[in-house]
Amino acid sequence: MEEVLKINRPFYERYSQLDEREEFWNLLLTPLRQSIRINTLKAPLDYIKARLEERYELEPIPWVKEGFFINTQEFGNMMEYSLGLVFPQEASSMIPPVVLDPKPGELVLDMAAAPGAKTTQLAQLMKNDGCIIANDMKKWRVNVLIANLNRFGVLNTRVTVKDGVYFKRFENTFDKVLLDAPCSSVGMIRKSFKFLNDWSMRKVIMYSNIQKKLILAAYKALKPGGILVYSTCTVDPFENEEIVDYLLRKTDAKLERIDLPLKSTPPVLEFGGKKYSEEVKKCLRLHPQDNNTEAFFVAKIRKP
Amino acid sequence: MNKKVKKRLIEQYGYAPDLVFEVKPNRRVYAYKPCSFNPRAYTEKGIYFGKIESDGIRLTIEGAFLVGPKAKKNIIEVSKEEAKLWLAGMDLKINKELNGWIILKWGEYYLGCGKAKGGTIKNYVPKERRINLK
Repeated sequence: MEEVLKINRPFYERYSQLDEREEFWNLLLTPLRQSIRINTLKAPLDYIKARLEERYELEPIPWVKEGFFINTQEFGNMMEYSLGLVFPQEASSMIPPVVLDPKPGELVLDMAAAPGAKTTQLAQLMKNDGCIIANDMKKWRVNVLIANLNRFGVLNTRVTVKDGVYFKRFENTFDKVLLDAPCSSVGMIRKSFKFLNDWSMRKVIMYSNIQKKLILAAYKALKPGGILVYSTCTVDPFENEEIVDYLLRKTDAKLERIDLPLKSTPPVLEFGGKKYSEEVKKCLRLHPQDNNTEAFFVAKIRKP
Repeated sequence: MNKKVKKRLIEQYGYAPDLVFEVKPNRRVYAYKPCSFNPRAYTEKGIYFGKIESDGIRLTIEGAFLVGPKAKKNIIEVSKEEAKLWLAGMDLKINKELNGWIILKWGEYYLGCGKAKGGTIKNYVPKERRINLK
């Protein structure tokens, strides 16, 4: 805690109102366990898993059957990495595609897709069939996305470079939309203290405003009966519950419960002088200590 | 061009996957599946599948994974040790009378394409895909 205070006092003051538990602060600063996702687009899951188990210890990630914790961070000598058979991906970041559950043949929008871990996971769930529009607004980030799609053998994706708001013109078009929104990245502190140094309330408010525009555009682009998954890797209610509450107030969106085998922290109904709809209880709020992962927030939204 | 690529693949490997192929001016071949949605914006599409060389199509690792499982010719199985050496960027010695572009595989892992000539398979694994041998 002292360490956080020293680096960024406003950060500590804000989030100690959110979670006072000591393990929240301990886990927030503890390096992450390495995890991977096996690429079933190129070879069968059991076959790759068996080959990996000859050299590494794998522990299944309970909420995604292709995901495993692995006892190495050395990918430079791993054949499976070279061949695009595994994707190093944080365990909690595998949740949004699982919740979205895209099917082969569907039309899916991945609104803020770079660097592409979740896009490749969507393609895998769709068995490379149907169509994904993978968008990101920054050209340099898109280059990383394209490299990852290539390495993973993704054939059903078109990449666009647009502000996500652009897609609101395609009203009632997509079967599924994933909005893994740009955010203040508190969850990423476990990867790099840069995110703790860089955090400021001004940025939280800036991201919150961007997220509101994006979620409205994402919802507009969704077909009636379709599913929108909104996710962030941050803990701030202004970027999570507030965004979902805003969508519920502005549209006819309905929230659905997320049923996965993991522990979670109850969503926030009141914070920083703001109150949110009881409906946001259906969202999934993950703090680092819940499952020893990055912090994450996921909402599953249906368009009636 | 699409038909030409498929014809060449069938000639070379005995199989062509049912994909759309696009040949860029640098002779690189990109492969993708059709998508009826038009985002009314510039799109990047397809994976780098291979390159048209003067004597055939050289498949990338991704191309080898798409063609390899159903290839009927010009494909050889290597040992685990040879697979490691290959992915580290080494040429391989072979005792077969092979010539031209060959897909290499180890079990269900497809290792890309090499050029067989005079008892050696020349390595084409790009530097950024090579493994460190420890």
